[in-house]
Amino acid sequence: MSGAGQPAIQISGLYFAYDRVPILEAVDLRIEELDSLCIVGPNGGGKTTLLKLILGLLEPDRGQVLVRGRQPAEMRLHLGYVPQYSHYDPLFPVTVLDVILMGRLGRRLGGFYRAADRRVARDSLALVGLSHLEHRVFSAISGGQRQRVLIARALACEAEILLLDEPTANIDMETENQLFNLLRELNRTRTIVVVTHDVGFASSFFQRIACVNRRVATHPVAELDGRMIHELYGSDVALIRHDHHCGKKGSDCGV
Amino acid sequence: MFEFIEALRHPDVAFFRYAFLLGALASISFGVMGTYVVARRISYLAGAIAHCVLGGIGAGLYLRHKVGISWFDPIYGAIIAALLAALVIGLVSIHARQREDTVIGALWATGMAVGLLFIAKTPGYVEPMSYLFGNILLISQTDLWLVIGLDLVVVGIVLLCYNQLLAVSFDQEFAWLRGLNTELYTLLLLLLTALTVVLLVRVVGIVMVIALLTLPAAVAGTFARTLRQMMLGATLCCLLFVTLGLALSFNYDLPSGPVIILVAAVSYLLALAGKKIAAY
Repeated sequence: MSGAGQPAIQISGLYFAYDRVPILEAVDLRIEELDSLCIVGPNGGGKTTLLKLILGLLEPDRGQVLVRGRQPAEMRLHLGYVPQYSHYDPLFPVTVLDVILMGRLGRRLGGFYRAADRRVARDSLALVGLSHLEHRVFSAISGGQRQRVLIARALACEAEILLLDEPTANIDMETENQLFNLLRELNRTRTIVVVTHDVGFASSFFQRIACVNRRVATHPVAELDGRMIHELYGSDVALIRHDHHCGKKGSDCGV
Repeated sequence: MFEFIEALRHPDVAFFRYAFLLGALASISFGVMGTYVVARRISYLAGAIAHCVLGGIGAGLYLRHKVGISWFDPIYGAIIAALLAALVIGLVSIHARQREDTVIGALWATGMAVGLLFIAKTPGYVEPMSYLFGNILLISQTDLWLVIGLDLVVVGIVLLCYNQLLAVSFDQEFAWLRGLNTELYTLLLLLLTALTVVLLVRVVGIVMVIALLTLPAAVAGTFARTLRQMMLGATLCCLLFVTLGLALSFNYDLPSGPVIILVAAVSYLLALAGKKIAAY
């Protein structure tokens, strides 16, 4: 499906407003295949809106978003999306396996799952280390576990581009380490875009960082420093670099 | 209870047998569609549809008795009004960025107003209270066939589209990303809800139909782990509430609609209390 030489995601001259209040303007962004990009920025800065524009869930007022050279809506089956788990109704009766199987929809006409779909769903669940929760009710597991189930659902899509919205919110350090390792593994074969508040997480995993505050500026992660964060957030932010050996005695995690 | 069973078999009270059969058969559609209404938290949409039904019934009565279109049963007017209301509400719900509740509230009251005006202009033929609060004397054999048809349509569509409807109900954005036509499935759910509401208006009336749509599903939802379990539980609960409600209303000479609803409401409170106790 991808055109030769096409970037995974290309955004040019993007402008988007809610009720005439500009949320994003003059946004240009190019994400190459197998890139790993982290989107950071203050609350209300337009991070999630940018993600939804890439997914095709919102349409730009001006400018263009292309996924592998085509409109996002046409490429939606190639996008794996992990929303925030808090987005879900806590009383909805659905099991963990049923949630992950939703990632297998859209592969053929009709909505029946085959044995192969169940196998892929179970493999995805195993990848996030939650095979033992297969039959549990989604709302009855912890927030961190729900976040991992949603990651497993995105993996079950077998999509080439993964977009994650705040995947480290409400998960403990050990789970975050597991997520870090999983994303690093997935990045060998997939393009990964993550929205996060966790600047430390961004600094330790991603190749590039996109700072979003109505406009977007991208930098190599190596350039991320206190001055840049101060400019982005308008105040000092504690940057905890997650070197993923911080649990070890004597390691220096603070920067 | 013995007298109730006798009454069901008695040839002179066919209306009572029809009421029971209608309630029992409709429990299937009510259990299935009520589950979607409760799980998706759209009972206010179903409420608006139910109240628009009065507009259709009023128009149907007027056309039949005043205009002289004798074949036009008020139930046809009710079905048309419910489907139109479901379409308008569905489109507003899908496309409106704001003021959705205002539009739905306005439609709710307008449907009632239109119905009452038509009924006022068709005096002597109908008692509005029968439609507002239900009257089992209104149930005919035709209604039974309509409910059987509805059950077949509802169960058939849900069996075919269970996974898609589950995905759309749980996470509409993700369902769209998986290539599903989420607007179509949303409209389909509302249209099926509209048809279900119309046919149960006969038993419990427009004002109380939403309670019978949502309370059995709410009771089942306190214990169900999956949408399938909730549908099955809601169907059984609805059957139980209708049977118990009709038996009590027969034994104590009370109007059946309110008794059925009170049985359902008490059961819901007991289910909530049972869940709290089980959690300790």
